[in-house]
Amino acid sequence: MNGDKPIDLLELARQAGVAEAREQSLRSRQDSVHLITFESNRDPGHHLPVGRHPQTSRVVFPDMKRHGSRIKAGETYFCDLVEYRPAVGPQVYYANPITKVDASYLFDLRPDLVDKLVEVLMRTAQAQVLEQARAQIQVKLEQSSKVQLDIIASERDSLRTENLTLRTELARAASPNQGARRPAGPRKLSDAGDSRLSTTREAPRTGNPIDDALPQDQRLGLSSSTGTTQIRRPTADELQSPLLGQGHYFVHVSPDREKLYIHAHPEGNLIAVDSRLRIPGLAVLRPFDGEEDLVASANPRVGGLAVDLTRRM
Amino acid sequence: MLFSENPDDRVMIFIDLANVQKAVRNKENTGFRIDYYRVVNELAGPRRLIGAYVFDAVSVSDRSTLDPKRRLHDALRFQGFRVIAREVNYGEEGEQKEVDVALATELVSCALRNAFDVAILVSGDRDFVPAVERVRAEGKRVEVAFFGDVAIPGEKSAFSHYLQRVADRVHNLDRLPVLQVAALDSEVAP
Repeated sequence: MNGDKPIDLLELARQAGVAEAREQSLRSRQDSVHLITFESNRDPGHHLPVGRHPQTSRVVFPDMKRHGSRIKAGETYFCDLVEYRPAVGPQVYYANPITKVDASYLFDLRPDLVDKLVEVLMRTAQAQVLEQARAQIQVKLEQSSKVQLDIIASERDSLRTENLTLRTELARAASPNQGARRPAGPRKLSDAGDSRLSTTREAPRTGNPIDDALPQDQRLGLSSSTGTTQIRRPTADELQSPLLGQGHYFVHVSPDREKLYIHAHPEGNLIAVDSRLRIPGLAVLRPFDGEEDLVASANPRVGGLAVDLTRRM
Repeated sequence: MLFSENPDDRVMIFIDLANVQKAVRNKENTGFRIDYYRVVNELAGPRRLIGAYVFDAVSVSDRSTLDPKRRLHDALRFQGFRVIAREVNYGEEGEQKEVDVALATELVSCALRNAFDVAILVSGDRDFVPAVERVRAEGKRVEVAFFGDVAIPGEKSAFSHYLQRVADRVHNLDRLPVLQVAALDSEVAP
């Protein structure tokens, strides 16, 4: 029985001391082993890789006197660190590699699986590169598009301004107090669309509607702004007025025979001489019973004069 | 008027030449001839004139360039009109054929192609009422123009009142300066 055997207290103390010593050794070893990733030394003149202590952030050098020569930049090792406190300067550590930590260590993979893993990683990297490139291209496209949009917007604004100017001039030309003159040239339907643009090429206005309605070389500089004037009818088929300068004219009449329209045109079929314009058939429109003065007004729509055949001055 | 003349409106004009000439015949023989160029410009006003059609018929039996109708058509073409002349055999009663249908077809097809915003029909013929209604149903504005007081002896008023009712706007050519004074008698249109 154990109870019969006397207890050797010395032996018991020795066994307990051995166990404690072993435990202390393991604890101290555990404290000195760390996972260190080594990088290239950026200091000029130093070629050995360096790492950082994970707790104190102090510099870790490979212990070249033992097994540190295996360590290269970019590698990660479980290292046994030995602290060194120089007389001057901060403390450093010297590392002895225990196990290199790489893909095969982490996953315990076969070489073919490691290749597949590398391929997946490459693909992921490519996707990341493409994503970055796409972001950069998008930024550049947005910048160039913005420049083009700015140019188009400025052109649009200038066209709007020009359009507004043309509309204003058109409205001014169409108003009854300011006459508009048709452009000279062959009578083509295509000219009709130019009437709006022609307002920009008009001669300066005098403020007199009749004068403004006439070509510039036929203006007399009248100051009246009443909008009407008189035109003499010396014979049955003739009209006479200082407004009728020498040149060609078209004369139109409304079918109700109330208005006679006269406007200068290079291709006009009637010719005024000495301020007299002969109009065949005028006697049919209005019977002639002696010399008379008719009422005329500016015709802003086509330019020229509109003679009222229903009344006299 | 319930609407304003928008300068941006695209105007297309369709002239039934025979109908117009029939109505203006008694006005032209006094030394005045109708000026179609002026008609178009007066009707379009400040709006954008994009085309003017003239529809007429010519006889297949007379292809001479001295034919007054062909000469008039050439003159109109020179001024920029699109002249569509149907070659027909005039019947014993001298009636023209195909012209009204050609005009109505062009009017409706242009509307369906969105070729214009405003169509101006220069005719007083009631036969165009269905075409006008169809064009209006497309959302286009249709204006009709004709001589308001024309009454051809022995016939009803040449300007159909029903056509005036279905149109959006009516122009009375009697009040527009559309007759040009001819310098010589030879200038009077046929």
